[in-house]
Amino acid sequence: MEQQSPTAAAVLAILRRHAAAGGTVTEDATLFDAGVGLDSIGFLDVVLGIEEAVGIRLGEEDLTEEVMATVGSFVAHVERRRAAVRP
Amino acid sequence: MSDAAPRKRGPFPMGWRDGIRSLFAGRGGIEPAVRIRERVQRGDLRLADGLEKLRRTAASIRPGGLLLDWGRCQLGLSPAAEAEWFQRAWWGLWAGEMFRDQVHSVPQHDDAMAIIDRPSPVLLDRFRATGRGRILAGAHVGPPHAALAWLLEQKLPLLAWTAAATASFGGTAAGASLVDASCEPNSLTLAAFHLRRGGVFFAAIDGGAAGRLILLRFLNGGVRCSTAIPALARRLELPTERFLALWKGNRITIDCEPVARAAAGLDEASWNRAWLEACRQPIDEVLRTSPENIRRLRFWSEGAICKEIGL
Repeated sequence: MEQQSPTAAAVLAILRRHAAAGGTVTEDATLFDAGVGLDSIGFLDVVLGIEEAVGIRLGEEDLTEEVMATVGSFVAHVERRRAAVRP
Repeated sequence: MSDAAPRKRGPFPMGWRDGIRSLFAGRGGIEPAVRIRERVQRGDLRLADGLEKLRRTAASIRPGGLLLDWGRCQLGLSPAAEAEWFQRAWWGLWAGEMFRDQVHSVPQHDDAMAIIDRPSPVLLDRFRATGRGRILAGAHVGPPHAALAWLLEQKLPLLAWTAAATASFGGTAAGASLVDASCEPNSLTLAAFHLRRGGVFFAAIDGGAAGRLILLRFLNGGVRCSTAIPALARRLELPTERFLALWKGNRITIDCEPVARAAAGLDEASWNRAWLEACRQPIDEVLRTSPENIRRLRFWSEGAICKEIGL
């Protein structure tokens, strides 16, 4: 992920903070299991952390299979959400 | 007891119902109970009457088998206390099965709900009045699915973590969400969204479907409990209540009390343990004083002490 936006940088930093030991935060990595390795509490912390850091409120509609497929798709979605609320 | 307790299968790999049968195999107690249960299932006998007949059957059964071994091991029963304890525990196991049969049957659902004593309206007012989400912490004690059936009947904005199917509560589950939390890694986050909208979230602390597990002492053993519920309570700063349905005589009562909030300033692991401990203490007391409310024997016997008898 080159030329990261401030939003992407914030989301990636939060993912790294909550990644499981040995988890990898790369564009193609999955959020759970063998990728970032988030468990249910870790994912909740990621969502709450993003809301605070990026200034958006997430909901069920933001957690579709497509959005949560990889780190890249998740970051891109958060960037779109952030862009949509900018004045 | 370590904080990072591994997940482990119970000692009844054949399933809980078969596990119950194995408890009584060869004791001469199954046949009369099966006959009563079948009469209630057919609607030939009301559940309330069947439960009373079951009491008389329980009194005629000689204590023994794995159930008695479990009671001796987990509670240190004295010889003088064994007979009464066994009768009540045996009754509770069968009564729970009969209640579950009825509450999941559309034609018999009302027969099951009729034995639940309605709690004070103040309780419902409390659930509805705040406008804030509310976490209800259950446990696998007492009659199975009775607490959930009662909550469904109240038509609250309910999200419950359970393996029970929504469709199997006699049509009362409309508008509620029953979710098997083990299916989705984002289940805790979805629960948080539900609570932020002012919903009611109900899950068992000993469910182990989501979150990290820690081992808590229960009776003379231990139980693996999920930190998912305290994690939600801590992060969203929401009121939480212990919410159980318990046998009291031949009827079921709703037991609901606020869970004392753990002290501020504790680290997460200590906070979770303190919160779970506040839930554990009254449940442990229930298990010690009302044997009919003992339910999943495997859940209450995961400590090392009972391994010698295979529980």
